[in-house]
Amino acid sequence: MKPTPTAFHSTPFPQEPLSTSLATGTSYWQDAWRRLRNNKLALAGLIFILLITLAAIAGPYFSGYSYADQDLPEANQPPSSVHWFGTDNLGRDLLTRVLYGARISLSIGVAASFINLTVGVLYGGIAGYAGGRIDNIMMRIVDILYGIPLLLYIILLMVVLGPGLLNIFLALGLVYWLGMARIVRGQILAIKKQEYVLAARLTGASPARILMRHLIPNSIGPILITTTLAIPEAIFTEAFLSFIGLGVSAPMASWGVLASEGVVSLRSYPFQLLYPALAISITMLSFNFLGDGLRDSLDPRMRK
Amino acid sequence: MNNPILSVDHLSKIFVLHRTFLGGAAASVKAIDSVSFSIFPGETFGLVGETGCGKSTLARTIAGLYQPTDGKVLFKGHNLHAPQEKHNSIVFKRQIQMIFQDPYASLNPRMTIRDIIEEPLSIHKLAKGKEKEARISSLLHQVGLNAEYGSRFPHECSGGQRQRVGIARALAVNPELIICDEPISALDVSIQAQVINLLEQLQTELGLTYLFIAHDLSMVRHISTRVAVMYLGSLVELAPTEELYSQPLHPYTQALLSAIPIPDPAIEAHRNRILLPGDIPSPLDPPSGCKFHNRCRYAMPICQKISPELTATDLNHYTACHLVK
Amino acid sequence: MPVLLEVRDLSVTFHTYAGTVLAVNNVNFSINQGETLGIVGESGCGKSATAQAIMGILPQPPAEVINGHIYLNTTELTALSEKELQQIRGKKISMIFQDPMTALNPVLTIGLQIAEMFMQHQHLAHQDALRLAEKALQSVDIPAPKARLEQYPHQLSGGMRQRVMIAMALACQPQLIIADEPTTALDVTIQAQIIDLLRSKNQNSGTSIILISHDLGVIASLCQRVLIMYAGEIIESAQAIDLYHKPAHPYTYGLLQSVPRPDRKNQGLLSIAGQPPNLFSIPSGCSFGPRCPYAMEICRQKPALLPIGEQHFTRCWLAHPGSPNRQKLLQGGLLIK
Repeated sequence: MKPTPTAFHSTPFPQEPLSTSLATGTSYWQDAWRRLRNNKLALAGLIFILLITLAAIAGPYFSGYSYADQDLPEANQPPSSVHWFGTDNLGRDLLTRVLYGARISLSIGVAASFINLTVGVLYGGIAGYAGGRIDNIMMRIVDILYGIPLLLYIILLMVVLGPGLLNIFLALGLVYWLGMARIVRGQILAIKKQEYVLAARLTGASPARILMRHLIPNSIGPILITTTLAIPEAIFTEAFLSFIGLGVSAPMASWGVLASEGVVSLRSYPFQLLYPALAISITMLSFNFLGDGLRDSLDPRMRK
Repeated sequence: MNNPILSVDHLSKIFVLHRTFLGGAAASVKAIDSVSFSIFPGETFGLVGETGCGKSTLARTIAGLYQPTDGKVLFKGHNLHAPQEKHNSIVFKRQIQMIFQDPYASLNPRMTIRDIIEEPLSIHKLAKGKEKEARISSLLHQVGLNAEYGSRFPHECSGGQRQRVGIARALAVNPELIICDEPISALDVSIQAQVINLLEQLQTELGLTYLFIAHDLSMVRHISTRVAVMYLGSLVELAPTEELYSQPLHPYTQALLSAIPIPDPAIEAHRNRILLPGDIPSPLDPPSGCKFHNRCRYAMPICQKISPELTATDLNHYTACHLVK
Repeated sequence: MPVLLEVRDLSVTFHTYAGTVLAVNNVNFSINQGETLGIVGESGCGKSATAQAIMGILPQPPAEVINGHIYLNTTELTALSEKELQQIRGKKISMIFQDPMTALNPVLTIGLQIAEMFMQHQHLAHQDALRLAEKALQSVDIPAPKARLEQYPHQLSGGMRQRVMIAMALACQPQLIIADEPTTALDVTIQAQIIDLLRSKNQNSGTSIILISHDLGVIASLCQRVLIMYAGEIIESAQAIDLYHKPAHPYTYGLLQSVPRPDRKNQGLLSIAGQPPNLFSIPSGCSFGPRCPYAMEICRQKPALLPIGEQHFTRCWLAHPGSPNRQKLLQGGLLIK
């Protein structure tokens, strides 16, 4: 191969344009979303949650029945084209009641998340950042409270407060943030020694700024996962309370209430228990699958 | 000789690892042991040492991240850690900034480059609105980055670029003293020279003083005006750079310098290295007297009993060794 | 000296979600018995992938050896099954890694881990293996070897752990040791001890060593021959003396200029412009072109390895017979201005 006459003339390469000069990396969220998409169970869970949320909001408008409409001649009908889930012992359409139950359960989920994201995150954040004695005291309080099963607290609180949805919110609010506080505190302890936090301190950033701009945003992963996994627990708690009569009371249609009504006629009309039970189980599973999927996909070590 | 910009006076820092039930210290590490030196404006003060020597702890104590257990840090004559000087210390703390080792951990992964540089400006209310944007652009430019980088996230930048952002962030508050804590050891060799050249250029342009901490002895020789050597928390030798490297007096310094591999096989083939026996002792349980005595080939009986003081052997050349008086 | 290991036309790709990366691009080299060879390069140059390919420990997927043959004496390593490779690893070829803490099992005692080598390769009984383990620790100058057998990795310092790794690597007297950045994480005085140890093993037992490092000083202190890698290719190969005194590739020259000398007074540091190459989009032509101050028109075509001296090759058009600078290159390095 004979080189051309100008082959050896000095000809520097052109400067690379900025946009191509770095490795094509994907952002944290893009990578996480891609990993989550590949997790079939998590995806199924997410889709189910979206569907049931949609159904809970819009469904009752389309069903033509209300949760309280009684129709005694139609009592205890098995599932048919008129009543997709059948009717209960007072002739109320079961599908509608299940959808109303979904509203209650999902709003419990939202309330639990809210408590976690506010009280839980702040409490854990302050304890983790402060360290030393403050952290010690704050976490010992958490440990003591944690020593007794949360369900027991809730039951006691409901006995004192009396039944009702608002009281359930209150009871949850008082104790459901403990797990989140621990997780966030652990995460903050892990990252507060990171150099970017030290740099912020050296710049003169106040503790509040460091917490809100640096520590908590970098703990979003565990926070999101814990929130997602706390929801099924909250849903179950409400269902259980209603089942034993301490939660929402009839004629409101919580899944727990439906279940307790369905148990009575289990032998003769099993569908009356089946649908609420399925609703509770599948919803809880969906959140669990989603939470597990999030945990895997947000794990920095498994980044590709 | 003008006044020092920074003075460290018998500084000690003890970390308590376990407390006894009643609050006393059951196990502790003396990370810095009565260290004294001064840094003068405009110079680059190099600090070297191996694992456990305390140089990182020293850097952080000077920067204000740790409280000293004993001794003082004086910045322009003012005690940085004294509580009564609190209102002053915030102003002074701004004048001491730090550049960190790990370009991957020293930037908040959730913030854009622009936000990272903007933060110090916001905290100290140094600029507003358009003026602030202009300042951010000019800082980026000063460290050799296009203004375009402002919208990037740290993970979209290379190690060298991140380190430049770290420098820009430090410069944002117009500091006088910058502590460089191993600023290049995590970078590729060809990028290290770029960053070092940038640091030297900025020093000339802005009249900065550097405390340069590294374990890369060759790089320290290149950039420093004076060099101090630390071993297990104590300062063992301090001298102007050329003198330290050509005539090291402390046996540890001699061994340290002879251990550096030289990128020239012809020289390496004929080198007589001083090989130190054993390992560096753990800072949890340092040797008595002179901490180097158990590895020193010149050890005398006195070395085991009494820890030598840092004394001047020559103008500006200090050594802590019983051999050298 | 007969050839011990030969690597021919080795190419390795990595399949990632962001694309496929050619990590090792047509690499050819060999090492003789008793020789010390250095492989120098920065992050992403492919040196570690090459070493792992030789040992057969590349994770496949995401890695894939798309081409190449590796011969140890007359055995073709690339044609062996995993089981057969296990017979070779530790016995004929050993590897030492950068971080001894992660390379040693934290829940097994040192004694057990070394003894495992003997039990696996020499089919010795437990007690005999432990005795040999003690001898192995002695041979790497670890004080109080008998006591060490009972200790766990976390109880040892970094330097000690690295010695243990070397003891394990040498246990069955392999013909070749591949050391991948063995001293990067160590203090400089400890580094000197380890290099000294490796050198004595090479000189006394005739063990060949491939030393991979980015530290030009460490390479100079141990290696007789050196390869420089960039963007997955070998871009220069020479005897150590020739490489350091008469570098023939602009990248090598740039590296040598950007490393400060501990034995010389303050001189200006020349840095290499630009960034290390983006492996997802390596430019066609010479991979170093965009950063090269000597780039010519012809550099838009990929250069082959061209001879520039005795056992000295460079992948650069400057060395081409038609290049006007070839004479300067031959005479004494890249002093072109």
